[in-house]
Amino acid sequence: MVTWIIFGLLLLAMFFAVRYAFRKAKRGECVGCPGGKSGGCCHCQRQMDTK
Amino acid sequence: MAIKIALAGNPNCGKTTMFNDLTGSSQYVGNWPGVTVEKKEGRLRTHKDVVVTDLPGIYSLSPYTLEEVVTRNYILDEHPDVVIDLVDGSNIERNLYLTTQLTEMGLPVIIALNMIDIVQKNGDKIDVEKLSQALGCEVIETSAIKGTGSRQVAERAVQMALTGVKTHPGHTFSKPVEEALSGIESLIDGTVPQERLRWYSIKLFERDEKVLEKLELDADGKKRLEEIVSGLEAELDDDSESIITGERYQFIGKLVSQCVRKRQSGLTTSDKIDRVVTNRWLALPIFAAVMYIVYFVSVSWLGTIVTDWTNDTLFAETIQPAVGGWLEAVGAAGWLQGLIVDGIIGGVGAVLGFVPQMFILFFFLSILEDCGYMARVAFIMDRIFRKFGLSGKSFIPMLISSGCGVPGIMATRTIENEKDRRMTIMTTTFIPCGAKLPIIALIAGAVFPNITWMAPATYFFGIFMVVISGIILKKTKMFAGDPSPFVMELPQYHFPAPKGVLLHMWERGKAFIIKAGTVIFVACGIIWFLQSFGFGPEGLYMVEDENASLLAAIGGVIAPVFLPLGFGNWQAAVASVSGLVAKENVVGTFGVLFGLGEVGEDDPALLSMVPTLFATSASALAFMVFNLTCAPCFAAIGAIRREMMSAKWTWFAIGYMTVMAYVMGFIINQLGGFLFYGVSFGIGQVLALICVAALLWGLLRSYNPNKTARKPAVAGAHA
Repeated sequence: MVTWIIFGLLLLAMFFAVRYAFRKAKRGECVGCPGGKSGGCCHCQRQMDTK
Repeated sequence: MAIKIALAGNPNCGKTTMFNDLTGSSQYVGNWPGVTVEKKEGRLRTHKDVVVTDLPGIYSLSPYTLEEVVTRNYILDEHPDVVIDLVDGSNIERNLYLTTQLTEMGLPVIIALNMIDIVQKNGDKIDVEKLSQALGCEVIETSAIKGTGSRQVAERAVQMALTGVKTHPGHTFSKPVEEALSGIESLIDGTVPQERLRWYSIKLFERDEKVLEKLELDADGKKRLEEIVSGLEAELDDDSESIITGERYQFIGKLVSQCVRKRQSGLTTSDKIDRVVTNRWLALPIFAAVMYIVYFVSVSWLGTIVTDWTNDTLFAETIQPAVGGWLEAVGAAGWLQGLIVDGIIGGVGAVLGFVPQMFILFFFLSILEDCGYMARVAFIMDRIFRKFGLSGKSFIPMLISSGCGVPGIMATRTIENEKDRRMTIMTTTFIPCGAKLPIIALIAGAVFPNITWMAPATYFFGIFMVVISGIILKKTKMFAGDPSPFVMELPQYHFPAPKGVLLHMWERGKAFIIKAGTVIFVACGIIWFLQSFGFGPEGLYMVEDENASLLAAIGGVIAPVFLPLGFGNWQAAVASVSGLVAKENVVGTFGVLFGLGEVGEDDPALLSMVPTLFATSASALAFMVFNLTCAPCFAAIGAIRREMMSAKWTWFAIGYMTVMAYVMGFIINQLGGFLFYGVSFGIGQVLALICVAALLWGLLRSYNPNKTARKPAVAGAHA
């Protein structure tokens, strides 16, 4: 049981990691890009979403 | 509705520094032109309803390059409430050219007279009152880097936006030009906003194609316009654009003579340093020495000491036993323990082990950039690149690529020549980015532990690849042509701002850590699964021998491709292919494959395992060269696709990089093995010599682009 709980949590973490990377790629941003949170990416220079 | 403030100005006048100060952002700041290629927005710290937009730098409102178009279109179409025009006080004459144009646009304009600290340090004086009166707008002294005056400018800008007072230009042109402009104004009156009437008439007078296209004048209007413009051109014996430019500079020259008092002196400290640093003979050896020291300290010496602690103490002695012990205590299954300890911690830990080296490298690169040295390198490289048909403009994306290839590829937007731009995109990722550092550190540490120049040599190998690619490609019809002109102002040397350096280092390093925690984390999980399971008669089962695994089966199919390069085993083949996801994954894959939780470039287990994958040290070098120069990671490929705006060109770029990497790896393995490691001479060496001959032919052959260009003209003449 413990094995499957930990494995489930691991899969969940992987799902969120994939989703994060996929969303970044879709927006043309680097993985690790702060996005809109601190006014854009120092890295890939994406524009902040001001809406 | 939010107030919109635009930050405009010449390249490298401190816009992004002021933007960061006003919004609390941490955008990348560099002291060479082309750092900002897209507009960036943030909210003013003190007024959350005020959006500040940092625009790419432009010299005039007659844009030539892609990022300059971004700025002009924003000012024209997005109607900012106020424009803060940043004027570099230490180079006021050139900067005021844009100011004269901005004040004609019918927008509220406020001038931030930036770099006033340098002006004062140089002993120069600027009469701000007089300048303000002559330009027709308020002037406030600022030093964005020291944070002085920025808030005051922003507060005044907000007040101006609220009152809606428009700026009227303080300058006028000569009588005949003013008469011509009045004539054009009467032609377009009513078709453009009243406050923009003067700006549009000047642009029409200059025959600005984009404005002509936008206003869609009828045939009569076009005829009348041409009469006015041609008439004055004939009268003044000059073309219309030059007439306007000349009169603007006359006004600026007069204004500067009245408002600016320069201290007469000899060479500045920066000039004295530049006499040595950019010296024709010393420049390159100094650059080589600087990069050697940077890579030696970060990869071989100090970086290794800190990385050892990370690997040995943090991962091997703390995290791995703690997690392994906990999993055992809670009764987790063996396969899960393997997945977490060997797969996740082994793979991600192998990559994270390089974080200290990464931070040290980025720290030094940030210092070199911030103090003004890297801007000199672009200037030095321009001299060399020009001989090979490239320009220093192509080197700026390469400087940026030493951090990450994605912004490097984006920085090619500053190159107006499309052929040069494409060629720079295709070659910029040859420069080793931060993600490739683990590969360099691993191979250099495991296979060449006593060769201290191995890590710095990879940087110069990247430049070598760029140069030979430049020469070869420039001799093809697709890329032939003169290199773009490269004009850049060298910033004054200054002590790097600690905050800026640390921020820059942190932002780059943080992206590396986040990537390890996401992309590498998932990739390591997948690699572990494929390496631990196989297909048998009874279906999927956990393998005892990893050679029977799914990964071995997949790698076995790919491996023969790499056999001529000396790493035709499935482990190295899989590592190379996994590097397409992210280059760090090459090391992460080794971490998983060897089942080591505590791996790192200096870990004895990995050090002894990695060399066993290669027939000779030349094969290991071929592996490193191939992985450093082949197709970049998916993020960079995506950036190439966006910037090339063509699937065909994207595939061509990827194909070119991979073929060049393969050829280089092949030559190194075959000839290196023969010359230094006792491999007997055979068909491989013959083919490698043919490759060398083909490369030399590409480099040395004469090519006359005019010969090809003349053909259609001749055909046309016959027709």
